[in-house]
Amino acid sequence: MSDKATQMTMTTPALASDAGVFDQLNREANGILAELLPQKLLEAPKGGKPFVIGSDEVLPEIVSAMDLYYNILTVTGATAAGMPDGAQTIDKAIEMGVESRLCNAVRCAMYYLYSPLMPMPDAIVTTNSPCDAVDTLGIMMDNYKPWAHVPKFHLDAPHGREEEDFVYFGKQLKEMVLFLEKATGRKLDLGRFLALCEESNRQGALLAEFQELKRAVPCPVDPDWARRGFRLSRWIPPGRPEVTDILRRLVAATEERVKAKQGMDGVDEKIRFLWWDVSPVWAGKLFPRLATELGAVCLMDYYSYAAPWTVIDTTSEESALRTFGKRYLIDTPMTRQAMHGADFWIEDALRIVKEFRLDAVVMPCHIGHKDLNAFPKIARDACREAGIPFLFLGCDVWDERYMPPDKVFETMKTFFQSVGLA
Amino acid sequence: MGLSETSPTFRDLARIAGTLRNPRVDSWKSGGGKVMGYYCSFIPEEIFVAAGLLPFRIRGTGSQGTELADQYYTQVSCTFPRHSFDQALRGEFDFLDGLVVGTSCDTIRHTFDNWKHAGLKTPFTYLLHRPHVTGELQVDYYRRQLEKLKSAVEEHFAARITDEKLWEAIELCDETRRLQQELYALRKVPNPAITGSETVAVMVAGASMPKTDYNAALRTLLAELGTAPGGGKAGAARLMIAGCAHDDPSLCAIVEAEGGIVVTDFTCFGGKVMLESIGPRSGDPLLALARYGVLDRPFCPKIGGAHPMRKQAVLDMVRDFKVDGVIGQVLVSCDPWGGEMFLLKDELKEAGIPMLKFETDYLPSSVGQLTTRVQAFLETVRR
Ligand code: SF4
Ligand code: SF4
Repeated sequence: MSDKATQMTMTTPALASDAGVFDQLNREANGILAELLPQKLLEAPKGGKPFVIGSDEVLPEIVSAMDLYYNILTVTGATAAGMPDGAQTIDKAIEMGVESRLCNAVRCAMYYLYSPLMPMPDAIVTTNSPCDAVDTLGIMMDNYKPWAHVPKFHLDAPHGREEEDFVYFGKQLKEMVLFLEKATGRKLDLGRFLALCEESNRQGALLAEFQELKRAVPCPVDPDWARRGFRLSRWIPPGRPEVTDILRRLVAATEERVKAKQGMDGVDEKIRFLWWDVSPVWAGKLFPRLATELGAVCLMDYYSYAAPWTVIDTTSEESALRTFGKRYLIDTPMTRQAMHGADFWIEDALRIVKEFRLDAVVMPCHIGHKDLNAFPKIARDACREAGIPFLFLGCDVWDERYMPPDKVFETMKTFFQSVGLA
Repeated sequence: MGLSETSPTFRDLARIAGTLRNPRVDSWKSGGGKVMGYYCSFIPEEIFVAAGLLPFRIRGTGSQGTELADQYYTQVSCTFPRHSFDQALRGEFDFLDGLVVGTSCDTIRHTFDNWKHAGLKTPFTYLLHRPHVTGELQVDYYRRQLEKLKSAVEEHFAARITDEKLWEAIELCDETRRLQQELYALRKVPNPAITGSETVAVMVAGASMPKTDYNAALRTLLAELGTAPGGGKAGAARLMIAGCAHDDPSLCAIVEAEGGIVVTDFTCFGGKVMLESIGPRSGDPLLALARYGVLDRPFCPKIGGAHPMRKQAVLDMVRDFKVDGVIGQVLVSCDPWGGEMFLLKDELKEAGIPMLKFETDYLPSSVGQLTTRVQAFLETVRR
């Protein structure tokens, strides 16, 4: 789960280019993204809509089309970890036990659950994706005693990526819809659902266009806009035309800068690297410094790679659910990277390096990622074979105390220097 | 006097459990037989048996460290796959003709990638996609995955797995489970004739030798145990162990040296393996295997929606084996079991059963500390 909601909703990112247009876009985006702040998330269910809670981000178009209020508990945990008091929340969560190296975003989510801060849901949907940690969170939520009477549904995200896997997941989504209809008394409005999917297709296409523009050297704008775009289109109830509008204007403004061969303001771009993991909540203390002091720009991370989206086939409910299943299993950041084999992760990394003309791959290897921590050698060997400088870090994307940003900066600087990039 | 002194059958099984490449594997191989290694207890051995292969459950017995494997994993990875993979890198699993890994936890799943990447001498490798939810749609999906596994095994090993052969294999493995259940039942009495550490050895041997020989050995052992006096101390605290890769008798040995007895377990090499059975014959054997794996025994903590079944299985064991306390062993970095124990601790407390939960490595680094914690726990549960 990627997030740095605090920085994004409360401040203007340090690398924002083009004061006028981009500041305006920032303001608008931040206004919408503020809905993700934990306090707002906790209060929203009081709005009278039935409240569905999920362990992971699976079904935004469906719940919106059913006019339900939806909370992704992992996102709430991740957002909490990124708040100014994130470290205290993590410490309180650690005291609760569980497992000493559990992902801190999930730990914070558990803290919200057990404190108990979360309002009582009307239905619970859990999924085993993207990782052992969220799977565990789902099982905790499922068996949380005060919610014992709340109806529950469990999704099985397969690790395969063949047509049969998408069909299988789509069938489960169909069952989930029936479950939600029964649990909440709301019907899935097919017309609205398909309309939301179409709007979301438009947003996906715009994000894909933005990715294309990021290929320009120097990178025209803060590449992190892609991640913000993902959050706007997936984590906020989807299909909002104002989000489509922001993305459209973002693409247009970026295009202008590409035409003018303009890079990011204040950055003399020398190095373009891939941070192949979740962008850390402490990114604000690292990426701007890398960019301004070393000219090293983080072109991509898991969430800023959130494109191109599988187009939802809106010819019928069934085709929409099947393609929705595919979109979930293949395009959703983190699920894409954490649910499949090491080969898929590496293929992505090498392709991105090539297509975006990157100079290095950084494998942060967040401690919560039991998947990544199980194949650093494969990643290193693949990069070595392809002649791409590779750095393994070993940090915690949610808790900067594990490896302070200054130390990460120094490590990356030494690495860039020793491979001749800086 | 322990079974090692009194029972040649047990001695044989303990020898098999105490090493990787054991004499039964050797004679199987020298007779031209092939061995299929696998990670995780849910993998249907029946398919391998039906193909005429010897199923061998991967473990880390005898590992001294993770030096070689540490290039492939970080310190954040669970030490069970690290130890066993280290042995693989040292050639200790070179006797395998195939390896099937299931999509269980993230670390095991990527051990499949590492195994392939390391270029180990295992001619056949396969990743089996197993559902992580219990339900009918999942049965259907899993049946298709089993069908694919069956075809891949048939093709690689030039074997024909007929329905008849599959049912025979199911019956053979059901017989193993039935005999293991009998073995466990013997431990329900106040002074069991077999200790917890001895049981670990018997169970581990079951996944390391031909099933027919194992069943024969179990029958002999059961006959011997039926007439043997109990070796434990009457009135000793009766404990149960829960956790993942419990393939080594040392934790039980600590408990038993400190005056307790381990009377049952809910672990991936022990009690979880023999719960439930598949038979009798009816219809499609792959569907029967799929239903068994998905619906009847979702005992892996990676399976969503099934914690109540796991909790019930633990509570049933607590009742049936008159357990005074549960030791929950979580390997460091294991999210699934960490969560499971977190839930179980409160649930057992509610049922009036104390639980000692601790994190450890596959080879515990501090036996002294573990002994102290076990001692303290025994004080709290002593009758
Ligand atoms: S371990 Fe990774 S995928 Fe899982 S919740 Fe944490 S950051 Fe997200
Ligand atoms: S102990 Fe946990 S992490 Fe280790 S192999 Fe077992 S399930 Fe996986």
